[in-house]
Amino acid sequence: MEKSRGEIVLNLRDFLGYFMKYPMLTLLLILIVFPYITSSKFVAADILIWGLFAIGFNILLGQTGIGSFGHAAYWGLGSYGCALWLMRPYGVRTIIPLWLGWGGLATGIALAVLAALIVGILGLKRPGHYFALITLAFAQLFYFIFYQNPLGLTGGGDGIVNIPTPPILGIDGTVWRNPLTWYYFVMMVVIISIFVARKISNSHFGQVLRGIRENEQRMMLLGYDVQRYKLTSFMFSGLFSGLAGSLYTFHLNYVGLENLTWLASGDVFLMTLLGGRELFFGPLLGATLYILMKDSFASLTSNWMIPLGIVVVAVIWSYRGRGVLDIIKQELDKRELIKK
Amino acid sequence: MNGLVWGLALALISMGLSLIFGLMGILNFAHGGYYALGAFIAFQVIASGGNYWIALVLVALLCGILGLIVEPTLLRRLYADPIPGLLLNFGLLLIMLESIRMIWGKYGQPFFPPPELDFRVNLFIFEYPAYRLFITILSLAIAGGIFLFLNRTKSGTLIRAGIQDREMVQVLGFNIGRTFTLTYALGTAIAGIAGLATAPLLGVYPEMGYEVLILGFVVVVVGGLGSLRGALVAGILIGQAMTLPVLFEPRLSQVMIYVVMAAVLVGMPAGLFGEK
Repeated sequence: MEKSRGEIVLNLRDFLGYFMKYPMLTLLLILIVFPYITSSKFVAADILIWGLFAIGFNILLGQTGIGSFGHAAYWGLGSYGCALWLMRPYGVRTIIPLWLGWGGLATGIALAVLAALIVGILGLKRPGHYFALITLAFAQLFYFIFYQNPLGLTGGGDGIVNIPTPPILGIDGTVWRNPLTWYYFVMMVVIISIFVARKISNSHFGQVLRGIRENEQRMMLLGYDVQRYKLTSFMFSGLFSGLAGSLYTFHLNYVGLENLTWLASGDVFLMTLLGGRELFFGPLLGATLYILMKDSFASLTSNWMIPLGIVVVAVIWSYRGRGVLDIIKQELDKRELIKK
Repeated sequence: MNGLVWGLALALISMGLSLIFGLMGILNFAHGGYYALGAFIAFQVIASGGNYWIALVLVALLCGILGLIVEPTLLRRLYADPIPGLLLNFGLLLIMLESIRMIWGKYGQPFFPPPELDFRVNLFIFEYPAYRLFITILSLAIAGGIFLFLNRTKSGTLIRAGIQDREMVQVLGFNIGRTFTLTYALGTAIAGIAGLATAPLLGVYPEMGYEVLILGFVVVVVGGLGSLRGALVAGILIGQAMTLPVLFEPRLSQVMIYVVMAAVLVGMPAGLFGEK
């Protein structure tokens, strides 16, 4: 009896190990069934988009070890960039066909990366706390510029509404807006992005970033241009945040100022810490837990922020800033060591 | 003149932020929570029949006590790494402001200056509300009090020493933990008082905590992280930057603040009075 039980445990471990060996494939499998587990397909797509944002955010926080408290800027610029392209102001609408609307993704990304470049050049030389506050200040600057709406493009406090969904592969956009189809479309974009982000993270470049996180001075002495690596990592972070923001515009058919508030920067930071910043997939898990909790608390009370805040604070307090996935990995490693 | 009043109130909040950052190395996002809480406690005291002066004492006590509880129980574990500390404080801010919303409703409430100060003073060229003069005097008095406390008392010396070199103070056998708690509570009590003091200018509403927090950070960065003199000067400067544009182009007011901040950071990375 003892023996067979041991065998089952062993098989389970092999089973798990197999999945952990091919994380992208596992992720794909999970995401395919994911909309059937969550309360609605809309929420499932929401989670994926925020998850991509959090993964982008964590390129800077987890890999390079730099905390930004203004990532709403890149998320917001991505979403506004996309919306502006789609609304095609100044009569451009008549010249450009609608299917080019997907160019909005590129516009959003370009705006976000450009902003990251500027803020990075001005801020990255400063030590950690200053950098967090500089990013916050710039995010606020963008917020107020979009709020004041000097060129009459951003809709000010109302945001931009009724943004059309462009056709995909010649099929009308409205057809794609069936919740399940839309979820799988978002999933495709997010999976590809995560795949690319992971490639970057596993490359030599990613290793240099982790080197900077562990010991910046040593990397400098080894001859790496640390500033340039930091700036590039910030731009990659801005790129994925901007892409997530653009997708969010399509997701809601709307873009508003809440995408640019510093509370959105706080949200993505909390998600990342909740899931764990040490592992690549931590932020994705964090976004999932955060949004699912938010959703279920919101169905119970209109003051859902209180229980959600308490849970997040409790996790940060008890694991001292390590996230759920970090702790799971630590436990698994511990078991493994004992078996050996 | 309005800029000066508002600037001094900002300086009050920023001094607390700056002290806490200087000593413990955390950006205290919860500060906005104590500020709003101070205003709402005062609102409650006055609504239930108390007067402004009782509220003043109660607010300082309650916010201070809350700080005394939060620092050793919640924050102390996390000093090794600044990021969890920052996020924990941010979480506290969300919880505090949402609790305020739950207790007092999400809409703003009017808040009147105490009747004793509800008159206008003739300042030779123009008349000015006495309450605003009172804020000016209160802010200057508290700022002066902090300077005296830091420079003339033993606890104050310990705080200053801790800002210089935390470990050395510990090695010399002083209880740095108690100094941390004291500083944090001092900061939260002042934040509460600032909330009460500015309440008659803008009324009380939960979001006041978010708004003032960001302004406080701007002031601290412009003045130099950890510098009290910097906080005072920068507070007045930002107060002017906020109110002067209103005279010719009101829409510029908010943008101006961040332009000033960006300019200072690019020109003088450590802020006006920062050491670096």
